[in-house]
Amino acid sequence: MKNIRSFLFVVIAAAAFLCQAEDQYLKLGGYLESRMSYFAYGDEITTANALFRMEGDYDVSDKGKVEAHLLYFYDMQPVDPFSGFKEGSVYDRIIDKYYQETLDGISPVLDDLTPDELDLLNRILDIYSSGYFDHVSYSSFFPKETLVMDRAFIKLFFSSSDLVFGKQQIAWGTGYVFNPTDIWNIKDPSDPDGPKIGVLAANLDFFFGENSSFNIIAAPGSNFDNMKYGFRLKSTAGRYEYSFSAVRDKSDDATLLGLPERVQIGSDFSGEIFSGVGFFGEAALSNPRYAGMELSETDSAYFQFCTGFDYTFKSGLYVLGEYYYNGLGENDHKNYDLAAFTRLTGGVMSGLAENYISAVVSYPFLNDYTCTLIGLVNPDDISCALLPELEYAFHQNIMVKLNSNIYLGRSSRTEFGGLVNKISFCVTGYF
Amino acid sequence: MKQIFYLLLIFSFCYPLTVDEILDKSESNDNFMTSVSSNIEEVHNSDGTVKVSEMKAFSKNGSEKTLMEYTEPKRIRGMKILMLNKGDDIWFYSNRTNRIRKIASHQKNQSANSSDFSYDDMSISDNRKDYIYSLAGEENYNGSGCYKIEFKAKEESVTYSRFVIWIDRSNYLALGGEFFDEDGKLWKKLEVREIKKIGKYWTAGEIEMKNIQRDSRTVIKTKEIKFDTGLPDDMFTERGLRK
Repeated sequence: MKNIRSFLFVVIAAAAFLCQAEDQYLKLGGYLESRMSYFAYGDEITTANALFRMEGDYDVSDKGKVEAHLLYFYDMQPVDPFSGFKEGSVYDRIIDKYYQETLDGISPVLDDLTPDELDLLNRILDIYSSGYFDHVSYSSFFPKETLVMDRAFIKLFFSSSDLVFGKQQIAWGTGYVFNPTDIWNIKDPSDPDGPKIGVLAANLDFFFGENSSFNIIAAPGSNFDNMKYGFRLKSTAGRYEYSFSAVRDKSDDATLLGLPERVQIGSDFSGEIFSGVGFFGEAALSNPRYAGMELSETDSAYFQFCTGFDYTFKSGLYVLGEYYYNGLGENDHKNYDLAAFTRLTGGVMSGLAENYISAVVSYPFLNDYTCTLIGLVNPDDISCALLPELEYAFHQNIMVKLNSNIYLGRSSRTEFGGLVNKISFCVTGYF
Repeated sequence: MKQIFYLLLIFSFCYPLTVDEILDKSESNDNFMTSVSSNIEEVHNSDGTVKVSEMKAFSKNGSEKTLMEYTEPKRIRGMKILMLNKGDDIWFYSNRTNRIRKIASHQKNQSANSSDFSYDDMSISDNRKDYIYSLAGEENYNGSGCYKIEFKAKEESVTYSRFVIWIDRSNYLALGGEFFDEDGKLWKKLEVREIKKIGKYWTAGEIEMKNIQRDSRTVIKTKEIKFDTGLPDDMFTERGLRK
C-alpha cells in the first residue's frame, strides 16, 4: 500500500514538474523541506525526514476556482515517537500509569481503574490503531510516511458572497501564538511553530461595506450529530478590526477522544495603541455538555483568552509578547492527567496549564540572515520552551535554517521540563 | 481699468507658486482612474548579489487604493499587499496560511520584501500630515529645473527625521529625494528615471532607492502599464485579497 501511494505521489509530482502549461489561469508550485534533528538525551538519536508540498490552483473563470495542496511526509530515519520525552515526564507518567507493554503490544493497566477510565483508555488505543494521528502528518513528533490532502476545494464567487467547499484553511482569530476562537484548524500541540491542518467544510462569506463580512461555516462529520457549525461577524471601527462568533463544536475526532459537545461564543480584535504598537486579543467562553447534562447547564463553562502586542523598531528588531489564559488548564502540574492530554490533542486547549506567556524577538541582519528567539513560559509549573533559530536565504528560493528546541523546568514532571532538547538543520527549496 | 486687469494678469503669471500649490500639482499627476502594471524589483546587495522579484500592481482613484501581488520568486508567490487611504491602512495576505493581517503603523517603516523601499515608501501617504514642509529654493537636478522641497518630521514615530524632494518645474513630477535617519544622517537616496507620457499621464519607467548606510540599492522597473482600463471596487477589499 505504502509503495502504491509513494508511486502515485511520484507520478503526480513528476506530472507537475513536467507540466509546462502554467499560464495566467493555472498555477503550480510548492516546496521540498528536508530536516535532520539530533535529540540530546540518553541514547543520542538522530532523525531525518522530508516534507514535500505540492500546491496548485486553477482559475476556471471569474466566477470560480479550484485549489489543491498535497503533502507527502517521508521519514528517512525513523525514530520512536516517544523519544521526545524524558523518563518521568508528564507524558511518560501518563503512559506508565495507564498502559503496559505485553507480548500482544500495548494494553491498558487494568488495576485500580474506574470503568470510565478504562473506557477512555480503550478508545485511545482504538484511535492510535485507526490512524487518528495521520492528522499530524507534518509533525516530527509522529514521524512516518504519510500522504495527506491538506487542501482541496472549489471556490465560487457570487455578487456579494463567496462559497468555499472542500478541505481548506479557515483563519479565525487575531492571536499569533494562540487562537482560542479557532475551533476549525487544529494545531499539532507538539509542533508550536508548525502549520495548522486543513478542515473539510462548507464556508460561506457574505460581504457588505468596505471590509465587513458575515461568515457561516459547517464542517460535516460522519453523521449529523458530529457536525461543527457556526458564524462570525467581522467589521472595522476606526483603526480597529473586530469580530464576534458563535459555534457548536462536535466532530468525529472529538467523539473518538471522548470530548463533549460544546457551544462557544467568541470575540477578537486587532489594532494599535500608543501610535504604532500593534495590539490584539481574542476571547472564548465555552459551555461543554457532558453525558447526562442539558446544554442550558453552565456548571462546566470555562473561559480562554489571549492578548498581546507587537512592535518593530526602526533598526528592524521585531518583538512580540502574548499572554494566554486557559480556563481548562491546571495550575498544579501534579494534576496533569490523561483527560488534559486528550483535550490538548483534540485542540480544545493549547497547553496543559492555566497561564502561558510567549515572546518572540526577531532581527534581520547582513541582508540574508534572520535570527529569531521564540520563548514559551508556563509560570504555573515554572517551565519553559526556548526556540532559537538562525535562517539564511541561500538563494531566493532556498532557505537554510538552524534551530533548536531547548526545554527548561525545575523537574522533568513539569510540562516543558519533561521534553528532550533537540537541534535541527533544515533546508527548504521552493519551486 | 483695462491696464489694471493686464497688470494683474501679468502679475499672476510671475507670482511664484506656494509650496502647497506645487505639491497639489505634483499629486495631480496621479489622477488616473485605474492603473494596472507589471513590475520587476531588483535588490542589489552590498556583497554584489542581486535578488529579483516580480509583482503586479493594481491602483484605483490615483493610487488611493493599491493592491500588489508578488508573482516571483516562488517562495513568496501569491503574497498580496492591500493599501487603502493612500497607504494609511495596509493589509498583508499570506496564501499559505490563508490569513489576512492588518499591518500596524510600526511595520510601515520596515523593508518591503527585503528591499530598500519600506511599506511607507511604497504607498503615497500624505506627508503633509506628518511633516512640516517648506520650499527650500529652486535647483537643477539631473539637468532639470526643479523645486526643492524640504520636509521635517513633526513626531519621532515617522520613518524619516527629514527628507528633501526635487519636483520638476515643467511637469511637476518628483525626480529624486534624499531621506535622513533619526540622527540626521543621510539614509536613502531616490532617483526617478525614464519619464514618459503614457496617454494623459506622466509616468516613471524606473525608480531607484539607494540605501547609503547599507550600501545597497533597489530598482523597480515598470514592464508594462495600462491606465483607465477599469477595475472592480471589491478588488480592493479583504475579499479581493483572497480571490
